[in-house]
Amino acid sequence: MSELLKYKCPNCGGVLEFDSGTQQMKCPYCDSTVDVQALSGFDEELKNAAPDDMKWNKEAGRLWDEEETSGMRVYVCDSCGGEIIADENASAMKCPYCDNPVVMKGNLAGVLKPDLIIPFKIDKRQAKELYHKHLQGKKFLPRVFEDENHIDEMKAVYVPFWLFHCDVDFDVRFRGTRTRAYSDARNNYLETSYYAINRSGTLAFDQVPVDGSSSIADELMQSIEPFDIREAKPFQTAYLSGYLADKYDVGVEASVSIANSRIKSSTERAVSSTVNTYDSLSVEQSSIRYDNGSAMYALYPVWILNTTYAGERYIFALNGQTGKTVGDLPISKSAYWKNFFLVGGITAAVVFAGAMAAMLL
Amino acid sequence: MKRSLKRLTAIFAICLIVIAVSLPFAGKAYAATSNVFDYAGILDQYELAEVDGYLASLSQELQFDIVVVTTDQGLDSDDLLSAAEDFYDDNGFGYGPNRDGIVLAVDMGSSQMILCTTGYGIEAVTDYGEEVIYDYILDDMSNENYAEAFSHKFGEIVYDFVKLARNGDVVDWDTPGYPSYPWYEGVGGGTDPTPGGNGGGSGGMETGEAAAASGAGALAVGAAAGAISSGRNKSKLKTVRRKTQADTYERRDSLVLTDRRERFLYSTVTATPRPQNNNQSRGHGQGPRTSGTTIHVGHSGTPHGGGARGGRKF
Repeated sequence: MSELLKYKCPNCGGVLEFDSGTQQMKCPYCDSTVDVQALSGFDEELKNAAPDDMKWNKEAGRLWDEEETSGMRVYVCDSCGGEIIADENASAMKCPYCDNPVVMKGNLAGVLKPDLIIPFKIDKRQAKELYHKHLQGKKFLPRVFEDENHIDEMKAVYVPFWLFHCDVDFDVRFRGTRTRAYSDARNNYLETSYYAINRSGTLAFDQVPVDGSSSIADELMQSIEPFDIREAKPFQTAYLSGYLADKYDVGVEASVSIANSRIKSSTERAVSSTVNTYDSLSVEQSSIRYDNGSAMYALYPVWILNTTYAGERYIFALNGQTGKTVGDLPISKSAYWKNFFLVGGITAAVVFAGAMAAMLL
Repeated sequence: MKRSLKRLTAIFAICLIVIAVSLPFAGKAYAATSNVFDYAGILDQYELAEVDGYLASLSQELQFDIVVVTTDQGLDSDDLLSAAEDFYDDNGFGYGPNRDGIVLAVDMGSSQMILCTTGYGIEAVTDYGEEVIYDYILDDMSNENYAEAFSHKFGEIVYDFVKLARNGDVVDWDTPGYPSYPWYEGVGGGTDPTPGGNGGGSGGMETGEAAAASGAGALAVGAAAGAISSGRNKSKLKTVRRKTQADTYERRDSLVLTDRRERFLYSTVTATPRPQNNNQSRGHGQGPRTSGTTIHVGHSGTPHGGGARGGRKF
């Protein structure tokens, strides 16, 4: 039994027919003309498109030595569930994320030891100054907001991060267009030519961070990036002295999807920069495969300030290495509308007066 | 100082209200009072007020409705175009007897947008012009900068297109500077893209009408200036943003290409009759065409342009 071979139009999906006049494939539905050779190669590529293969060696972190954990305790916040590591002498602690009291849960057991740590470079005095600077120049910030902050309760926390590094093998196929305009006596014509653009190669990523704490928003930690990994040290318990450390509760397994998404997106963007003679370009298909994909466990230094204003919680984070400060601020609606009417009123009055003067003259 | 500032604000607020109630919004055909309808909820209340105020001011100045509607229903391009036509027709948009205007319909469910033009919009925004608009706002739509895409990109490019068309320079495939926008400098005798700019004449107006038009224009410009100023200050309060890229962590000079191929696939040709002196032309294909615009008729019987190539994914 013979099998009828059908090719689909890459433009509209309709079944193509061979046009004996032009010796090319033609779509009866959208009138696209398709080169036979190109179609054959394109069809082959579609069949051979490899799926993503984003596998990681997830053996991040090490086991603690017994003597290292002897003075360390785990404290838990009954309100938000956050777990904090601190030395056994810490007392009357509050959760850095929700400001509720934490209670000692027990010894440090069943937790991995970090591979790396970036020590704090910003002290509390500098952190306060940077926080004040963050509030400056914000015209719509309610005036009483800063007065109601308990800035002295700003806490220095080592936040757990999983760091992903990999060599990427990629195959990316783009759809590009070029347009050409011409005309005859009766019509104007716009010819749009479509191209399949393939790029294959390699690209490497180092230490893409994903925070391992569910107590703190991913967006907040992403907003204080980047940290300078060159200043990271092999982890030693001594670095934790006087600081809190958040115990990771999102494992490396659960963090890979965020790293994969960022790496895939950046790979496509980097590869698109090698294609530059088209009027439009879009990614049609991409296959990303990791070589040597591995993860590490690190602690990054972050100053956290929790505050409440008008019944809403506001949390600020400050990169303890670079000083970058982030945190969404409340808005004074009265200041917003006052500015709207003031600027709008003055502008309208000036424009109206100008128009009237021009008419009278 | 504080008291005098309050007093000043109050005086100007009263000025605005007085101008608003004393001047007729002459020319608007029907009763739609907003220009942005965010059913998908992609703008916060301040962005909504800012974009709405800005598009309203441009529309008022041009006497040409510039409307944005969002949904999350996941419609295909034909249904989205049909929904945009019905939305425009049923909600009383448009200025003048031909209900001049344009609507940008955005479907978050299917990540696509489509334009629908009516009245003078059919002439001012051709099939080619439509593609230029999509190209111009695509980056902001893809990067979720919706307020920017709707106001300073969509609003301003439509503003330019309408001004150019009224000067006799309809943006079409043969516009000088093709294909990238903006190219309005030097085209059509120099239009001014600033709201309140010197782009169109109003010869033959009576003094009272001219004063009313000036007042309405001043009000619109004031509202736009107020919305822009407040919007800028408000955006300074937000510093927490999700990162979707890992560019910072790319190893320097690690990008190595092992294969690069570029292959022609297929081509399409769109033919549009050259404009005739009587501005009439015979259509073919998807429907009658005028000045390079594909026309279709909505359920209400009103002719519309737009959606010639199925909108654009973002």
